[in-house]
Amino acid sequence: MFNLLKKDFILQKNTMILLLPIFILFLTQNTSSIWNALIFSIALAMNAFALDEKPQINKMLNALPYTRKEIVSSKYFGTLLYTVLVVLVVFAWDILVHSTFTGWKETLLIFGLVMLAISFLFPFSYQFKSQYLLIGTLGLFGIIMVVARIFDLNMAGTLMSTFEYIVSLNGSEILLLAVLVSFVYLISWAISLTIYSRKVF
Amino acid sequence: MENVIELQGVNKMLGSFQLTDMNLTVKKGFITGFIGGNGVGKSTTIKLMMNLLQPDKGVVKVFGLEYKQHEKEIKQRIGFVFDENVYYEHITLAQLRKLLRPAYHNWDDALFDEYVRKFELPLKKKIKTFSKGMLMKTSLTIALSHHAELIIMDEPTSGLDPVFRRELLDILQEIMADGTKTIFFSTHITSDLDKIADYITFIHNGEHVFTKEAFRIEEDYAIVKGGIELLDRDTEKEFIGIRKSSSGFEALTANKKKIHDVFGDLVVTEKPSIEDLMFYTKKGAETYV
Amino acid sequence: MQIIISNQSKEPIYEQICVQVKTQILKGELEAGEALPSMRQLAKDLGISVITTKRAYEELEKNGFIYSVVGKGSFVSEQNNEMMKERKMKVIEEQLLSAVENSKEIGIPLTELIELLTLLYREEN
Repeated sequence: MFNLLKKDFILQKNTMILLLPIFILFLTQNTSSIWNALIFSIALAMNAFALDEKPQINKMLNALPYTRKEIVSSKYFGTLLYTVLVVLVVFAWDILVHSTFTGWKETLLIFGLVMLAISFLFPFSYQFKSQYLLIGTLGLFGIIMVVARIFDLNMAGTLMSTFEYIVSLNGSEILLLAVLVSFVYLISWAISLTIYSRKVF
Repeated sequence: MENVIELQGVNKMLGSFQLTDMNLTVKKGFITGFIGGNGVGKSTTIKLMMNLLQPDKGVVKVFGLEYKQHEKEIKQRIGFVFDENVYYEHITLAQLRKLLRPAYHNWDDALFDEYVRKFELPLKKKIKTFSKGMLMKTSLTIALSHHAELIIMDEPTSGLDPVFRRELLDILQEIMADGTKTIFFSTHITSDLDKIADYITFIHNGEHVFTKEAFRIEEDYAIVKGGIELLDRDTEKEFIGIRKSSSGFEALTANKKKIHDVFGDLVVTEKPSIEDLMFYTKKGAETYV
Repeated sequence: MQIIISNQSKEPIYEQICVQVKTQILKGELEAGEALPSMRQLAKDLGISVITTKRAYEELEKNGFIYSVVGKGSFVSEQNNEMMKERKMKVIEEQLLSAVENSKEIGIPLTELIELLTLLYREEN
């Protein structure tokens, strides 16, 4: 399974190098770093997913000494890894530019939101096709951002205040949320496994 | 003789298509040609052999092991050639090597380089620019580089030009030279590859018709030609399929000796090609339906 | 070892191999103890299946022309004169038998057949 993760990293290397300056550009825009981290983590996770989506590629992966369980699981592990990478960039940014440490609550929030989003995106994409979903989701994010910026709508503000609310929760409440999100993530994993194990290539 | 692949009573429903009670074996150290028309279940059978599909009923064993308990172990020892490009298109062969190398315990980089040189494959060109022949050589290079004991090929000759088909023949015979490897390939174009096949496995409409030594086909089967007046209800039973015309009949028999006994010099018999087998089996099946 | 295979021939390929190897052994072109190419090598050289060469070698071994040593390969046998004679005798017997059958079919008596045989035998010399 480690090999599958490595494979995705090698395949995504160029994409990641390309995305890094864009990500930094986004960070300079003074928008919420949680919001930016969320988008980029999801983009990387979904890109890794899309790379292996063609039936021919699945034929190859299944002919290689990997099990279907490992193939699906590598995507779920991969998501966490990509999020770690993105969070590390945010950490570095906060330290270098703002001379602050990113709070653990914010960090957890990023992970939670990525996991929640992926919990819906992966099973959906295994069942249907990620192609439309990916374009649609990214487009939607883009539009929201643009609209919010142009009209100075409170959309982002509402989101931000939700983020702020969550961040303001106390330790045990956050722990409860974390457990809840992890649970959703595990359920999603199990659903994806079931869908994928029935696929015919 | 040792069996590398064994299918025992395998049933599989796929949409409206069905494989029924498949029993077949693939012998170690030989080349087995897997033959049948389009849509008779060749690809489905191959997918079952590679665990791309699981049987509804019955047992699939490879190297005497079952996928349920030994999936990775089995796949470590299989090399595959598909009839379409299954690799990432936007990367080069050098990059592909990096992706595949860690997957196999027995990966041999020196061997990979050797075959890349021998097959004149470009390491720095994107895979999407590869021709059908180059893709086939790529798959074989990968299979040989991880010392695959069993090489499964799905329609390897379709879309290849005759010159390359001949070249492939040489390559395959070379692979077989040490006697430790087994090759199983499916095809519906039987031309030159049936020359090097040791065993022929023939399926029709999702059912196993026979597995025989290739030379047995010309010993048992024959194309029989004769006057139409020779045919009656009894004699027609000797044939698998018959093509009648105003100038006579042409038919396939699975019992050449008996035909000689029954008709003697009244008919002409000829060596059947594998295409003849497929044609008359299909024709016969249609007549009796 | 020279072997030429015809794909057009009515004779099965394994038989073509058998006949040609036998001829070369009987002519002394292949000497006793000489190693034959391995089945897989021969198959590769001729572009035919391994099972075909295997069958040819088995046939040759059965008839005592070659013997095989596990792990070493196949070799030309010492041609035993007694054995060869015996084999030839068997062939002669069969041929004579069909001559007898044919004679009986058209009613040629034994004396006439012997006469014919004597005549043919002397003529050859």
